[in-house]
Amino acid sequence: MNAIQLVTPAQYFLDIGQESLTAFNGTAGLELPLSRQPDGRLTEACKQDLVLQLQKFFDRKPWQPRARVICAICARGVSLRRLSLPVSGKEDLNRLLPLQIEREFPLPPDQLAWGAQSLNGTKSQTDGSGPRRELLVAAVKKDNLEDYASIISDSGGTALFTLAALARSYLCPQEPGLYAVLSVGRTSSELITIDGGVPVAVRVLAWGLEQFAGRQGNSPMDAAAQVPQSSPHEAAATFRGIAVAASVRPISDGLSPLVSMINGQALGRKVFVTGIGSLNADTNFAGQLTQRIGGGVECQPVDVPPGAAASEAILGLQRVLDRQGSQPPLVLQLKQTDKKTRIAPEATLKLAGLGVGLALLALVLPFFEALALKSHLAHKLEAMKPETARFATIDRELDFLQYLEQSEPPYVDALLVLAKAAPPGTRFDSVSMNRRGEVSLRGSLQNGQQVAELRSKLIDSGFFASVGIEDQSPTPDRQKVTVRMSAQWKSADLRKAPPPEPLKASTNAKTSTASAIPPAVGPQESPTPRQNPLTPRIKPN
Amino acid sequence: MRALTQREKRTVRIGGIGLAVYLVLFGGLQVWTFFSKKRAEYNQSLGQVHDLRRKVDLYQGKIQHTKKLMESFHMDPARMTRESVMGQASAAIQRAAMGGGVAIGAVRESPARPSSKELGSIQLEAMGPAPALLKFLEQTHSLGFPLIIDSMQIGSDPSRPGPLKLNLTIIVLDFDQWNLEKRHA
Repeated sequence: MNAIQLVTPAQYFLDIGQESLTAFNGTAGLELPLSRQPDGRLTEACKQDLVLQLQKFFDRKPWQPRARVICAICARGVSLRRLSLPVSGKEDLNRLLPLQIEREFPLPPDQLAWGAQSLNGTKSQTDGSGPRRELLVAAVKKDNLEDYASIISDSGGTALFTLAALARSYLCPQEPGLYAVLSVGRTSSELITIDGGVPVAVRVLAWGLEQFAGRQGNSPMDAAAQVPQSSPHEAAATFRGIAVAASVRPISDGLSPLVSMINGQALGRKVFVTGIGSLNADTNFAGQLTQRIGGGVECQPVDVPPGAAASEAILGLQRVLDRQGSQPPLVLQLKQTDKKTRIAPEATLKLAGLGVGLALLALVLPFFEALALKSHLAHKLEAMKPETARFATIDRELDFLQYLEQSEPPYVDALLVLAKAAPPGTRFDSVSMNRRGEVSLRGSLQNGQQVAELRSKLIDSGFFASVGIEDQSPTPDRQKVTVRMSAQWKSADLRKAPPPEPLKASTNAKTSTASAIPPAVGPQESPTPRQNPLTPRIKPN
Repeated sequence: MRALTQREKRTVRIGGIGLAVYLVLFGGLQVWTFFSKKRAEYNQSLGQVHDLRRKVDLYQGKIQHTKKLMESFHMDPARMTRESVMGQASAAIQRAAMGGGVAIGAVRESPARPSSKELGSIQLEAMGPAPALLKFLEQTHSLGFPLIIDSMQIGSDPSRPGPLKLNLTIIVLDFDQWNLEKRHA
């Protein structure tokens, strides 16, 4: 079973006769007896039994859509009319048709279950009233169908009604001109006359196989004597059921009553006979009937597949559905709609209930969520509170470490800048610095020019904000100049870090040390260990 | 007891219906209030959880940064004990100096003011070749103690040519007194 089958309603066929109901699901069939009240309606016990049996037969699961049940009803009480309406739009047609039905039928349309079938083509009127549309309208008293519809609805299906006699005609070859289809039942028969493919009249004949079999078994004399007491009646299908009895003539065998009923009617050249499959082949019912009717009318039995579980009406319906689509050409409707899809009231209620339920659920769910999850959330929060206390510790540690990092004075960088700026021959006796950035140094240079050069280099390095000479005086031998300088390095975000010192051999280290000039601060070299420990600590610009 | 008349029955019925409607409305209001209160509390808790989650996300970065700094300084401030930090730091400085070929001279420790964020200061004299002294200067930052060199003086000893003399004043910070508000103020 695929997804489409899940959402597509199952389809069943019912053939509702006078005495029995035949159900068919496409593969298996079910025949149920019907018990009726004197007025022809089903008894309550029969209805309940039908509901139970059909529920089992449909076997619909609660989640499945309602089954689609196409019902072929017997012709009792059914009237056919051929109506002619001006060609108009669909809306106008839906408005005009009930008015026309009200005029043509003895009951108002709202008391009728009726259906219309558009006949092929339109006819132009000679009186100049314009083209007209031909329609075939079938109608039956609504009460007759409401019982069936209710039973099918209670069984889990949605009913779609059509005429069984019409359905049987789909089994017959579509002859041109006039012809008839006679369906022989157990106690009654149905005769439908078709002209050019369009049903003209449908009649219920109070004659069936029981009479035929009874008469065949009796002597013609006995039969003739019995006829007046049990005379079969010819009945036209009217709203009141069996119509006025036709004139009864004495008959000599079982077929005579039937012949007398159908004689005088326009039968055409052929009468197709159905429902005689149960008779022996040597009975030759059709042949006997042909002989008895005479007048060149040929009776021909309709071939039904041997062993078919369905009735002729159901087989005809299957054939027409295969040919024409999802529903038979003539559908009797209990409630006339504008042909739009309507949802069954029960389904509407279910959908509305579902919608209301969902809306309520959406409204209530947040509250239930609050009730159900609040304690869980509270526990989680309680469990997390000690963890939140660690945030303060983290903040404190981070702040402390950041302070430590920022407060780290760049003593080694300052020494490096100083060493690079010092001209050759410079000697520093002492260099002192503090973390506020105050630098003071004392040393000797070769001349005043070098002092100025040192100063300008220190300023140009971008490391110091200010460089001042506190004292500059020549040595007593006038060979050198002693100098005392002070400087202030820039704040961390403004000062320029000295470029990293390239690796080179410390060949001058020994000579520098020997000359008592601090190698780290001496002008001839840069401190050897700076390359490794200090390079990573130089801050980028 | 006499039978009630139709009018009385109707009155009783209407009264009953009215009472039932009142009870339903009143009860409904109570239920609604109860559930609304629970929901408000739940929403509040939910808000707290969301805030906490945002905070945790924020602190992920801070934690990473703190870890990096701890690794750089070889130090976990929370594990230091105030009583022993001064002594341990002094010992570590002297160990580092000796390990780097720097001779340590006089060492003086002085406590800081109780209100300050410092635990105390260490003044020491060291002597050695320039590379060793520079290396020693650099090492003081990664000894695993909160040390800041407050001042330094480097010079040559006229009486001993060759090695340089280094005077250092090192401050030991007090993590226990570290107060965010105080610093930011």
